[in-house]
Amino acid sequence: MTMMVDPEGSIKAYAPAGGEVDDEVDTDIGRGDPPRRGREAWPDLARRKPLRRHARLFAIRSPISTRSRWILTTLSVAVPLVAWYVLSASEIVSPTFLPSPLKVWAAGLDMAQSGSLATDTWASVQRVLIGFGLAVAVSVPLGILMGSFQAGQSFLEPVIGLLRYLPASAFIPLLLIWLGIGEPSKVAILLIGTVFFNTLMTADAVRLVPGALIDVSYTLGARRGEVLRKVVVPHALPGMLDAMRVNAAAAWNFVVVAELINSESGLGYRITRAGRFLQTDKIFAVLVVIGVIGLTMDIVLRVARDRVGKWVA
Amino acid sequence: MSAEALELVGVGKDFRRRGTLVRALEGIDLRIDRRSFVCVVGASGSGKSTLLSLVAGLSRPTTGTVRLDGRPVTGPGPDRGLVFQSGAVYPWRTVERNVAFGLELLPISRAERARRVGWYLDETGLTPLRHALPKQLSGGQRQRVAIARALACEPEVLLLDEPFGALDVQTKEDMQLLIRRIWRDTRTTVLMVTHDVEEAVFLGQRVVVLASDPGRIAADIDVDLPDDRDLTVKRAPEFIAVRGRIEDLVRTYHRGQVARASA
Repeated sequence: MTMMVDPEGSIKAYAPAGGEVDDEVDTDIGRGDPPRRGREAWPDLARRKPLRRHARLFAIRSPISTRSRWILTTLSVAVPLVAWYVLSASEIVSPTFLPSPLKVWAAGLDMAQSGSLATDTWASVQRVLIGFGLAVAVSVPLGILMGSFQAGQSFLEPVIGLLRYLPASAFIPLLLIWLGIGEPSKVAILLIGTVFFNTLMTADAVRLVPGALIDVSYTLGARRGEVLRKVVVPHALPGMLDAMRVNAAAAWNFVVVAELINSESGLGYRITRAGRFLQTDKIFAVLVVIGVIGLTMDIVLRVARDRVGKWVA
Repeated sequence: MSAEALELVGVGKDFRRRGTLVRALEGIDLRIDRRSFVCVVGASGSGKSTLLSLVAGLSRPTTGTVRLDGRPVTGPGPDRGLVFQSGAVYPWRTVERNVAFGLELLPISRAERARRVGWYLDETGLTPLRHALPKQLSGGQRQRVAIARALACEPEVLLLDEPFGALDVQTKEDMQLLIRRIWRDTRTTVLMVTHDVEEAVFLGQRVVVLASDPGRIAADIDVDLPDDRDLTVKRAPEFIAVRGRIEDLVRTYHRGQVARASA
């Protein structure tokens, strides 16, 4: 086969149409200094001084060695602990205000042995499970509705957008009047505190489902319900779990607040009670337990999210 | 039953963009024979993709009708498989489960489904990757998944919307050969939109040129090359002649639009 490229054709194709010939076309490319047409009077563009190299540790997004990572992680826990120990041992702060780590450990052990710690922890965890569970059960369908249908968005967004700015703790007096001082009012605070945010964040996750994915599913024969079930929900699931992780932390905060008000059990209740008798060592012990449980919850949800979201690039 | 698989009669499409009416397509009359391979080329903004989404049923024409086997198209369905430039594969599904998506919606047995999925994986060369997730695939491999997934529903018409536009030249040529082989093996009708004239001439038996603003048919050119083509045909004088003719047309109609926009 000959390589006859029609010379006329290819040249004609690139020549400008008659009458539009541009006289300014530069024909000097590659011959001597480049012309600076219209830019002769410009000074040379200012340059910055060459940059000093940063240490690896302070370069943005640059990975650091495993050793440095472990050292920093250890310090992150050790520095506050040591500071606490030094402050209390030197008695710069009175032991009534700041008990030593050892005293806190002993108080914790004492509560654990008497069984009150387990009872209180379970009471608080149970409230979170019920209150936040209800919030999830309500907010996930609402979020899917808002993220998938413009009608749902128009109907729900204004009211939920407003309600989320009302602080849950401001509802406490009202809830006590409506629901009394028992469990329902505490669960309701958790629900109010998390349901609106979780709805909006779920809706955001649903809105991130690419339109092309939905369109292509219809061309493969899927009907509306199947698109929701087999495309929208699986794609949004990791995002929904992210939302739950954030809001579970909020729920854990709210349960302690709710129990400070009026209760007979729970970690928040234990703190209030210990405060009444100036038992700061007990308060500290409970705070540590609250932190550890919160962290555990976060890790469990993060592991779940990473498993569900294995496919996320 | 007529020889036409697909028929567009007086099809027009208007969009409302910030209060002003934009005419994307106007007076499109197009007949596409069963088992033929037709390419649509045109500069960007000529309404190529709009045309395809009308045929797919993802949007409705403002005027005129689209008919498949004589029945008007009223919505999307598995008789018109669509492949996007982006591929739009399901990122949480493995390759084989992507291909199985359409079949999972049908009342067929597991074994039947597996057999069909296996055939299309084989045809598109994806069998070794059947358990891989899309994030582990290259752009070309992802397009293979999208093509296999559409084909598994055995569509009357396969609609390709610039499917190789984002691929490098070598991968693109592999994919062109693949799509020719699929067309030969499955005997499905193919309607493909592209801005790459060489690709259109290499693949199509017919090339439809769209003019821009509003999108309308400027030319409809038969490609007189044997149906049995390989890549060397791209160097044949006949190929170069047709290609040059179509490129000139595309350029003319594109320039017309640019001149009007700047006036």
